[in-house]
Amino acid sequence: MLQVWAWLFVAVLPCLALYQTDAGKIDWHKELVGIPRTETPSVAPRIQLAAGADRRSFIISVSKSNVLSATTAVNGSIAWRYVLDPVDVIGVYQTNPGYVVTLSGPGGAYLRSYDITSGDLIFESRMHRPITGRLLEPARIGQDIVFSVDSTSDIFVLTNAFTVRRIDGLNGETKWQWSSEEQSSSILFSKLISTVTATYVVGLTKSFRSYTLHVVVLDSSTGALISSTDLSSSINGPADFVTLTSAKTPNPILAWLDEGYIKAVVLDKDLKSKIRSNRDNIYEEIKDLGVNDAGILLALKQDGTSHVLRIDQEAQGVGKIWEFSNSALATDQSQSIYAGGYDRVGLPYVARVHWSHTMHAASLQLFAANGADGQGMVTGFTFPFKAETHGTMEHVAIEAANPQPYTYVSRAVFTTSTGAVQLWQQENMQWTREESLTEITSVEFIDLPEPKAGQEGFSPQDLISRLTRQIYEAQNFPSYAANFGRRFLMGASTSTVTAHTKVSGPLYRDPFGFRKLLAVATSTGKIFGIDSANGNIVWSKFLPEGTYGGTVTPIKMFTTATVSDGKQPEIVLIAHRQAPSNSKSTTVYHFEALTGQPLLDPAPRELFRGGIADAYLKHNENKTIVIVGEDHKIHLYPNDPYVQAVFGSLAPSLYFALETSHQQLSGYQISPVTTDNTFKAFKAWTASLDPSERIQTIIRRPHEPVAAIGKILGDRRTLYKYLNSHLVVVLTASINLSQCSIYLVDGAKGTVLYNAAVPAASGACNVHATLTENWLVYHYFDEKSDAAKGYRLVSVELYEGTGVDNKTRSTDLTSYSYDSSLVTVFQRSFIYPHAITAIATTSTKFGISTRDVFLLVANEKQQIQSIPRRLLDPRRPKGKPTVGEQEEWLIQYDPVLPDDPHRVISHNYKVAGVRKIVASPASLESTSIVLTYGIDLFLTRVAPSNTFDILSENFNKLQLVLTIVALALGIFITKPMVQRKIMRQRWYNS
Amino acid sequence: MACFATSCSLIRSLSCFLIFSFALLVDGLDLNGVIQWNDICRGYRDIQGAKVILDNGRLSGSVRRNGGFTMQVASFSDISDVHSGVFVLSVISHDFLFDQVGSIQSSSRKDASAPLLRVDVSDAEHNVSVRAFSPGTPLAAAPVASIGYPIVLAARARNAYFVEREAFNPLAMFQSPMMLMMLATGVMLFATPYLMANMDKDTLDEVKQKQGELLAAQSSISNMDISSLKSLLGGDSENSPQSSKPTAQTTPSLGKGKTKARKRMKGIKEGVPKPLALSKIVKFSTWVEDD
Repeated sequence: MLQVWAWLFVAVLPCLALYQTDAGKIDWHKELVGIPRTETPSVAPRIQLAAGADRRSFIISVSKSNVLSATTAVNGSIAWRYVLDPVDVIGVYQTNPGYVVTLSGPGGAYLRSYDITSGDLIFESRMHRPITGRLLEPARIGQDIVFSVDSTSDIFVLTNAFTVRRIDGLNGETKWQWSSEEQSSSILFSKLISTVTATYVVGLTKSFRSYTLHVVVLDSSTGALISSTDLSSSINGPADFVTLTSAKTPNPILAWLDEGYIKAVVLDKDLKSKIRSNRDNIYEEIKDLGVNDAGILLALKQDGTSHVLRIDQEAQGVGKIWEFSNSALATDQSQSIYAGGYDRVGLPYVARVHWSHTMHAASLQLFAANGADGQGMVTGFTFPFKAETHGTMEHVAIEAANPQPYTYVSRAVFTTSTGAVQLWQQENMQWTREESLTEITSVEFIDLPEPKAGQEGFSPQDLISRLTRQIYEAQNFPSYAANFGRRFLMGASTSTVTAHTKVSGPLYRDPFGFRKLLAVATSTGKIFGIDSANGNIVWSKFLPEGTYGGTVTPIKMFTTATVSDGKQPEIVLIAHRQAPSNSKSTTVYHFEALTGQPLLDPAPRELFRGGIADAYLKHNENKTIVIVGEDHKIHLYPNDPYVQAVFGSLAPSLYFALETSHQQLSGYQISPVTTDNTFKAFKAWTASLDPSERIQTIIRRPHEPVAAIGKILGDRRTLYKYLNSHLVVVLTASINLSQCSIYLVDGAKGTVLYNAAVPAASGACNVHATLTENWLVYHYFDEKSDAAKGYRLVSVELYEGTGVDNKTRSTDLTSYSYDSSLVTVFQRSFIYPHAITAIATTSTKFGISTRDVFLLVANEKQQIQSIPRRLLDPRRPKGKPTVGEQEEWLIQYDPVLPDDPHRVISHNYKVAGVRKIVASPASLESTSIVLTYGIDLFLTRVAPSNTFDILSENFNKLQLVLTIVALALGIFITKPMVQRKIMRQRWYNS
Repeated sequence: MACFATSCSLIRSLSCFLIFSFALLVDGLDLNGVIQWNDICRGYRDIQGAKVILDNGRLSGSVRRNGGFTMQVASFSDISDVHSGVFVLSVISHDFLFDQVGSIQSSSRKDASAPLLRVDVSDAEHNVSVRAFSPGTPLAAAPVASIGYPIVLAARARNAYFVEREAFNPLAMFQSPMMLMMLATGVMLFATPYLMANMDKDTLDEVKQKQGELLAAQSSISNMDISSLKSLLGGDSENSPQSSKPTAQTTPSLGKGKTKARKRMKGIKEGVPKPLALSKIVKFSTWVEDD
């Protein structure tokens, strides 16, 4: 019988899946693409007008998260995106109205072409083995893509700085290939220009002090070498030359900056043209603004004055056509950024944007090169860019329109130092995308306060005003009554907080504590308060306020006051602050969590110079943050004499483990320094890890409530859980990357309690692990195994002492007791079908539901999947379960974990690039709130043991009401019958 | 090196048809394929961004708009660039499970695990063979027969992420066994008097007697006396020694029941108290149910 029940239970497991009606109600998903890369023009964002009837514009960007994406310019929604492998970094991309073509990987190993409107992959071709890709310095050199100018849709591609191919743009097949004779020669080719007849390959030859330009001419249709020559030139680097084409001339022009003067040469097949030098001005820098197809480049003088240059009338050289007024560097304005763009008919524009410190506004000057009958014309405006929340403008891309003569309208996309992407149409902001949310470093879940009863203020009122108020409020009665009726009949329990909950007024928690505030710190130095009900940003703060040029990198964040303490919630952020002139310092920021208001005055407090090694929150009554500096000095926050005294009394019993500079694990002990009344950490031990191994990750046991200290077996004996709060998981990789190891170490004294070595997959240690209570789960790829190649999920449980009924009280045992190293280990290995990027367990308020802790994994299919604890029980018997085991609900061991789509809690959402999964308890014991971050943000609720403490949504209130009504009716009908019967009975019996 | 062979792969876009071909290119050995669209996976939009990988992604090929994908398994110009050995091929797609067309799924876990293919790349012969593979089975073991090409991959199922919520259905409510039992009882309530009216006298007597016993048993339960109940359950009340020597408490009620029955017979003869007799039957039936 029991076995039947056990199997029934397993059969019932998939029923924990989502209901379609809950999707999008209890969860939300924010699609992001990452902060655009702006370091080189070849990967910087640009606006591209797509071909097609509706003539939409897309913002194409390549992000730091290695996502290629197209954003619709009108509304800022993502039209499509591709998440590429971390090693497959895009080096250069090119767009035309039909396609986006990218070269990615080392040296441009892969060529891919995408449809610009739909994002369909047209083709993917390997140019060379990624491992043979040349890593060149600077990185932008050696790769280029140009579209052919003839009627074909072919593409010319330069890869690895010496190979040029003509590729069919429809299927990716190579039409011809040319490689430089000496592949190891000093010529690094870095630019392509294509005409109908000839393809010019421009390279740089490194000479003693500078580079010399080298040009190779190839036949466009066959790839045959026509000529090859060195140009007498001396340039500083690949940024110092620009290739220009123009409709005015069939031959392209190569322009470069040679010792302050701009020189230019017309490129033709035999390369015999004379080099022309423009000696009007001395320039510091030239810029390719992406409008070189119109023969335009930008040159900057030493004082910052900028000139627009264009192919001159004779088409033999370049000449100045415009000087931006007031573009010289000045103290009252920021450095200007420039962009080139086209309008819908293909006329070129150049924009200059700068921020004025005095006006606290940004201004944009738009130069229409063909405006005013070819004379060139500038229009401009200022716009209210919010530097205090979005930082500085780092990059701009423009698109222009010329609705009527002498009127120019611009659309500009800004990438800011905080990672925001903004589109401004003239002086109106159209939309903002906070892409810094892809760079989250830490997250805290903040409990919200309960709504205060009578907050509207029922002050004593006279009769008339009370009556008027009541009459006024009576108009809401019909909807209230209808609502009441619906609630009475249908029941509305779990859907109390949905993604559609509006944010208005102060944040309050719902009856079940599902709604929280997410305090999020990002590596760009911007922190956010996010409503967990719908993912909306409630507040945001840019930390380096007022310190222009400085950067703030958040390291750790702690919640120091919560609603349950009877206070307004507060968060403390420990960050590294790097001012441009100063060295690194560790700084504390203290905020009110619900509003983001700083609580410290002056706002950031510098604790000490130098970085931190680690920081912890002591969960005592005054919530002290212990910060360990790189010099192992201990700093406390808050730091008053009382806290110091408390800490001083605790210090002798505090131990912690840290990674040393040699990537080994060491334990530290805290001692007071008598001279200046501070504390310092001293090395107490070094873990006996294999010296050839280097630590990759340290995972600590989370601070969590434990409901049960043991597990009752079927025969009424007990296995006591090994609950050592110092337990740490250490993941290591051997130096030659042949082997990865997993250690469970007692962080107080360095004893290795469990150790496993797994093979490194393709020369990399990609082990993911999670630790909760006494349960460790890790995941790796086993390719050495002769048995079955695949991903393994290993579940390990530690129990006290030498076995069953051996209790050592590991929770309150002193670390130096021998008993604390006595453990019994159970483990089982399972086959999991996918690669994973993150792993975590759920967490509930009291840890009672941990009996069914779910394992949450983010897999390569962009899904978040939950795995029931029961399936991963390391004590699953290999044979048929005995009666005792059946009583424990143990099911027979099966190495293959079923891949059930019902357990994909992210259902239809494609949750890309998950780096971390964090879980936080709701007020209901059954429910855990789960947030994943990485590229996308995804939040949902899970109930590992089902919602046992809440009326199920399945509960049919209508049925209950109907049954009661039917029964009442039955009683009503039968009552006279029964009465009559009783009366008769009495009549005849008595 | 100026000449580069155009790909002579055997792959042809046969209207959304998948062919695995192992084309011997001048520069290398390619593993090509096309995914066949079907009713489950209708086109590229359904699987945009899907990839096909070997092992843990040591080689991968993105699925193109025409459904095809390519991975270079070996390069002949570069001897070190040969991936020989046995690999597991899997399709990385968010919503679909892919399977070879025409293969019989050997795994009994039909919906539990994604089907995989094993790809054997032979270094010496420069060829590739593809076989079915179940996760968790040994790779080193003698492989199953190679699947001849063209091998066709197609979506086998779309992931079902949701479960249906049980809606209120009165018919389903009445189909439950409890409801059926209640209904039957209800029907009996009204049907019994007519049945009894049609019974002959002897059967009626017997029924009456049983009813009387039951009534007695019920009253004895209410008096916390189980002895008479035992006899009743024994089913042999007349011959049981215990019931023949009833306790003082049960005797009167038993006697009462008998007199009642007699009186009732009289009543029936007179054709009056039908509901009364009915209630006893109801009690009888509920008793049986409780047992």
